[in-house]
Amino acid sequence: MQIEVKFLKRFNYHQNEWIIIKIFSSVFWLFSMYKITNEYLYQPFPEGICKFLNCSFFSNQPTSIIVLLFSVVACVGYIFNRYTLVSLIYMTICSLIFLSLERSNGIYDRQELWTMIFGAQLYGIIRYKWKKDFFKTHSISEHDIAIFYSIQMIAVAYTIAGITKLQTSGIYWVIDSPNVVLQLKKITEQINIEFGFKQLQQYSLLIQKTLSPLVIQILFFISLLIEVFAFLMCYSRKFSYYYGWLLFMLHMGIFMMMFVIIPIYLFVILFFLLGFPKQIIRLGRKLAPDFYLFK
Amino acid sequence: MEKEIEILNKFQYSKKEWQLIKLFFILFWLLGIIIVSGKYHSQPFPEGICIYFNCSIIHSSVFRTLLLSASILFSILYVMEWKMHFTTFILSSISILVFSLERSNGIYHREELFSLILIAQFFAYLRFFLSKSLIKKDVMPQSMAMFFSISVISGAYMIAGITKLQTSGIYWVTESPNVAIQVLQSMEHKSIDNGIKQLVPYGHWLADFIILFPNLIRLIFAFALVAELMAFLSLLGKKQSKRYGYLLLLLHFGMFLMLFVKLVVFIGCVLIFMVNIPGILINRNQFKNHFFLINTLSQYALVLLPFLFYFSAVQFIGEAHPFSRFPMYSSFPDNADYFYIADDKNNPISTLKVFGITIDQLKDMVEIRASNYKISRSDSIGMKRIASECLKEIIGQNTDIKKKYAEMKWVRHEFFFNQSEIIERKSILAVCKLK
Repeated sequence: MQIEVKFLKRFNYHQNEWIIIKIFSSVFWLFSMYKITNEYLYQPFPEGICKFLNCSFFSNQPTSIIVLLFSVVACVGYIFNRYTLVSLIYMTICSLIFLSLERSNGIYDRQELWTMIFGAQLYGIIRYKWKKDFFKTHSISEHDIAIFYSIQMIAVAYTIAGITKLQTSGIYWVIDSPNVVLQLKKITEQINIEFGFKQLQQYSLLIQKTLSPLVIQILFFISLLIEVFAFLMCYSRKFSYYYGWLLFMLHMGIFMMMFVIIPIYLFVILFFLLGFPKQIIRLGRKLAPDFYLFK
Repeated sequence: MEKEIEILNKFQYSKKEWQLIKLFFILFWLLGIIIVSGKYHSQPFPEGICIYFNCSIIHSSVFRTLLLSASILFSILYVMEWKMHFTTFILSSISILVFSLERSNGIYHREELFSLILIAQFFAYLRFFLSKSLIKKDVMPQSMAMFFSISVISGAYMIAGITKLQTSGIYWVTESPNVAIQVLQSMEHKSIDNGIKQLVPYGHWLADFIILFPNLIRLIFAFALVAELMAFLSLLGKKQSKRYGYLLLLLHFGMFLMLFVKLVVFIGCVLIFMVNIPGILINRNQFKNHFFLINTLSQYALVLLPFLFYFSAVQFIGEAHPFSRFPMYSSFPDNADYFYIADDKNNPISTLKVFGITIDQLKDMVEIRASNYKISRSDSIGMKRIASECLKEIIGQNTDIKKKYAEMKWVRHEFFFNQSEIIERKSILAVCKLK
């Protein structure tokens, strides 16, 4: 118990930061749910829970409309801390069903983080309610636990990604990394077809000619280390902040190398690790000092 | 004599501790006796005592019953500390007989340590029985028995170390990166034995690692050799033997990781006699000290429960939302490809603008079908089948495009290296006439 208190005291967040995280998470999540209910009306290759349940039932009208309406209500409850437990249970189950449906269509947008984060927050809140008096005496609030557990989910996702690379390719992931120029060439071609950006092909050529294989190997080695050691961000808020910057740079590097950006990852880095809500509050104080959220 | 008393007094064990050590050890030994005595009905290659005596007789039901009854009876007497020089003599005789039979079948499970410990204890009790009153007054019999038992365990490790030096000399260290071959062989056959397929890729990964870092492997092997050769240090006292026990366990753990070798008898004896698990269990303070680590670890586990839960669940479940290994870009092969849709004049069509589907998603559609239909990416006929299915599915969702395009083609664009130059190849996998 003492160790738990020690850990949780290192993850101290203001109530308003938590509300901002919840607002943005809800908007992002609702948008994803809306997109999935619109796009995937059947499940050609059932995966996860869709193997046992016909998930497409929920994405077809009128069920989808009811589900979306309840989602909005759940988000409101989640943001305003009313029936949080019920709201989170609903949001976790919804994520589980709809994101499984997306995967059952062969689309991997890497949005599993939603289910993971909501599930972790749900567990955090149950844990808090279970030992409420104990946590209260140590002045640990519900949202500290919820955020700490969410950060653990982010950490585990990166750590597993790093370990998978090692399991799949071993050290060859670093040795073969200069082959990434093929991926860059492929992606620039794809972007050219999708958006008509021909200039990117020049960029691909430039990278190919200027970056030596050794530099690429060093960069990839560093990025592998960052991923494998992502569990370090669970140590404290400060650690998670610095690690957030490392991950942010990693994603920028990936973007520059392969034009790949995974929105949900960028979102969680900005909001859970880099303290973006704190900056929003600071900015808000200047613009609307009387608004309760910015006080 | 005084020196002997001084050394023996460094191995002080309470009566309860000794009783529990004996109980653990004899149960472990009995298990070995029960398994081995019922396994072999002949001795094709007699060894040890079986050269002079037909050990296979113990397989007959009458003899086996007698043998097992005697083993159980003397095991009870052993724990009760009844005429120990006699009891240990009988137990060591049974041990020699049964385990020699196993060796006579060409099976080397390294159970000789059981017999060695029992013989050592027999000599310890005999020495105590025959010794002068000075020793009897100042030394507890269990101190002598424990000292002798630890002596034979450390002796076994030292002999193993010396044998390595006699056989290979310093080459045992310098040539240690060759263990990569052993790793491959070991993982292959363990994978067949246990049906754990993952052992093979693990073996390949480990072998690659060994080849990549030969000096690190040499260093580890040098450390292991020194640990074996210096095993006599465990005779300096009870504390030292415990610490050396941990070191030897580390050695065995390394062996397990590298070769999947589990020398159960050695590990068990190190745990019982050197690390002294029974003593840890009996001594509450020591128990608390030792379990302090477990207690702390369990507290950390509670704190990091979501992390640990997800991490371990992924290892068992694999890919099933929300569990994922996040395999994106986990390898960089020397080829890459993507798919796009083209019109009748082979001009690429932006699927994002026309169908709201990105090119990455086209690839995802192909990949899930390829994995479900068990079609390799190099199988051109299979890929054509998948492409036509995907094309049909996409067009089926949109009726407006039929007015705009006469034909749609599913094109695969490949890139690969040819002597550090990037070569491109485009191939049409499926065509759909719209008008």
